[in-house]
Amino acid sequence: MASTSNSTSSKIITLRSSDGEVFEVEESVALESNLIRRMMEDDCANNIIPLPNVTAPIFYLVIEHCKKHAEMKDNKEKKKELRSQGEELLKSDPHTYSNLMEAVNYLDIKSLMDLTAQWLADFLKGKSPRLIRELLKIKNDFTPEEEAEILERNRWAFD
Amino acid sequence: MGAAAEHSSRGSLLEPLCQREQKELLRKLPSSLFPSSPYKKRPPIHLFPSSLKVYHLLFSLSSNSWSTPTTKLLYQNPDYPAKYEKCLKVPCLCFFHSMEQYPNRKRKTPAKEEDIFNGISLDGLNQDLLERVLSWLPTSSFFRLRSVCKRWSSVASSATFRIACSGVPSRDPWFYMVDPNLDDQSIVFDTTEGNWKNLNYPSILLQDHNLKSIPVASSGGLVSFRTASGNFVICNPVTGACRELPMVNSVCESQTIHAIAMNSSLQHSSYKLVLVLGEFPNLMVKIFDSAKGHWEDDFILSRKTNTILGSDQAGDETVYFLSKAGDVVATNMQRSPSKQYSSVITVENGEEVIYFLSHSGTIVACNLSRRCFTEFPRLLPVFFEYSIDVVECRGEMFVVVLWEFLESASLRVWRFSEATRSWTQVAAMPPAMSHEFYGKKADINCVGCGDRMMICVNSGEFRSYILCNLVLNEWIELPKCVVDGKAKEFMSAFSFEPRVEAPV
Repeated sequence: MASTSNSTSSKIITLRSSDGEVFEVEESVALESNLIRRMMEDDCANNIIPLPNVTAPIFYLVIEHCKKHAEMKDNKEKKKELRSQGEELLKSDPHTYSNLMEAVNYLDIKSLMDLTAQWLADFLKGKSPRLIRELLKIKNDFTPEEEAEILERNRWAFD
Repeated sequence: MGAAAEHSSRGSLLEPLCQREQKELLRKLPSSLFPSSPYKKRPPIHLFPSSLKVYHLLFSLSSNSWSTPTTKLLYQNPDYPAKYEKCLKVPCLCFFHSMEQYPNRKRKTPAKEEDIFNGISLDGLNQDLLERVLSWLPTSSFFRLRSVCKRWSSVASSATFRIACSGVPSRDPWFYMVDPNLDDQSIVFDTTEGNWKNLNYPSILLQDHNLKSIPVASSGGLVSFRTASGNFVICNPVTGACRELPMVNSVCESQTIHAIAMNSSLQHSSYKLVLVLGEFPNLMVKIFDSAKGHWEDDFILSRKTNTILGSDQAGDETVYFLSKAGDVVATNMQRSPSKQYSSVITVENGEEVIYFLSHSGTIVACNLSRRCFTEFPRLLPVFFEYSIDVVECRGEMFVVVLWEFLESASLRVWRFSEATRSWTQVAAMPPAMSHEFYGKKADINCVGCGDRMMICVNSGEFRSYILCNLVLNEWIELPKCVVDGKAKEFMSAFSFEPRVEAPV
């Protein structure tokens, strides 16, 4: 197993992902998740906490982001780094990205919920509705009349 | 270990291994070497994508464990071996899985963004997540993207979406522009996109008796108007929602209004409209609190007497070199109709303070909590001709002054220090820029928001709109706003945050 000699005395929490992997995470990192916090308050602290909705690979990503996020407080460099990594993941593997968002949401990690949503919003903001439909495989379910009406109503935003 | 280290020599590391080679390599290695691969069940293809269609996983031989898949490795580009070597300082094995193994993934060069998103559907996101993502969009983008599909369009009317929006701590300001003739009042400057937008005119203001409504104050996501009959209408310019406030009682109607200021709370989604009225120096305050839904009882402001002397003295002291200026033009303060009630509100140590320009051009500070007011020392001598305005930036009051001196014009921003009871300069427009205003007898109207302020410079022949960032000391002249081929002229502006969730 990985050496623990250099780690501080902080408590280690054991978590199990949906695909059966067991993770050992420092308490300070684990408590970023309100879900885990609640479970621990319900006295699961000495047992392995199951996470039935999160797979191991995604959980790795979540933990990485949590650690980075903890480091990035008042550190602009780290903030940039985390952001560019988030954007990179979004562009290279949007499927994983949406899984990450869902996992973060399920684990109820407020800071990451905002960040992941923000990154996606930043990706979308300059794009036309047509392009977004193409990119995200969204069906245009407006009738031509409805679409004309909604475009007319929001025409100012296209200036 | 020895055998493994051999395989991890640099040459082979940088070459992707084919599947057969990988299997062979795995067979050669003692199984004890792999304590617990996190990827026993599946190759890590879904975890380690890089834009170059290869996926990698590291097993470190030195620590005898699978490396935590750091994002650093995740995004390394194997096309650039030099970069890649950096993260392979410890001997380790590196497996590359090529894309071809997994036919469900399209083998495309994801050079264009259009291709990248193949395979994701945001429809898969639950409503909660979708709303959160959309809440982070800049307001103009949000309105554009309402035409993506019905689901996105309907988000605007969702209560949970509004809650998500109110969780966004701040939005880039928009400036609501005031037309000198008070017609066609629907143009805003969007600082996110850096352009002019022509919003729909708020419907209630279109009613006949409201037609000549003047915008008088703004705060948070709202702008307040005063109708020709003296009533107040609160409006969210983004949604067009309007609310006419109950009548101010008749005692107040006969009084001169000195200041109209608005203060809003994002958390409680409520606002206050504050009026300072009376014959100076007998001032009283009238407050409308949206949480209570009615005008509160008015109260009198007492003058803090110890400061009268101080202000006069300090006023004499702050004449600076300017008192030597030869040509003295005695005029009253210039004032445009829209800035009749020019005032700002700040909260200092939990106490609300309204600042406004008195008729003689001094700044009056009214402390609403202590129910008293003081006059600040003059910034420039009374005989000096200048244009002055108060703004609020980052919760602080600043004064902007434009004056002509020694054959040039100067525009400066000042802050008042309570401790020394004196003014200090915080910013100045670059002289080359302000020189343009020389000899134009221009009037300025300013409004602040966050770190920024907009300065509208007007004279009979000349108009200019400048956006200033106080922190970066950036001064940018805005492009002309052309409507139907004609450049629009504006008298002043009010700043607000474009927030669809701000209730009127």
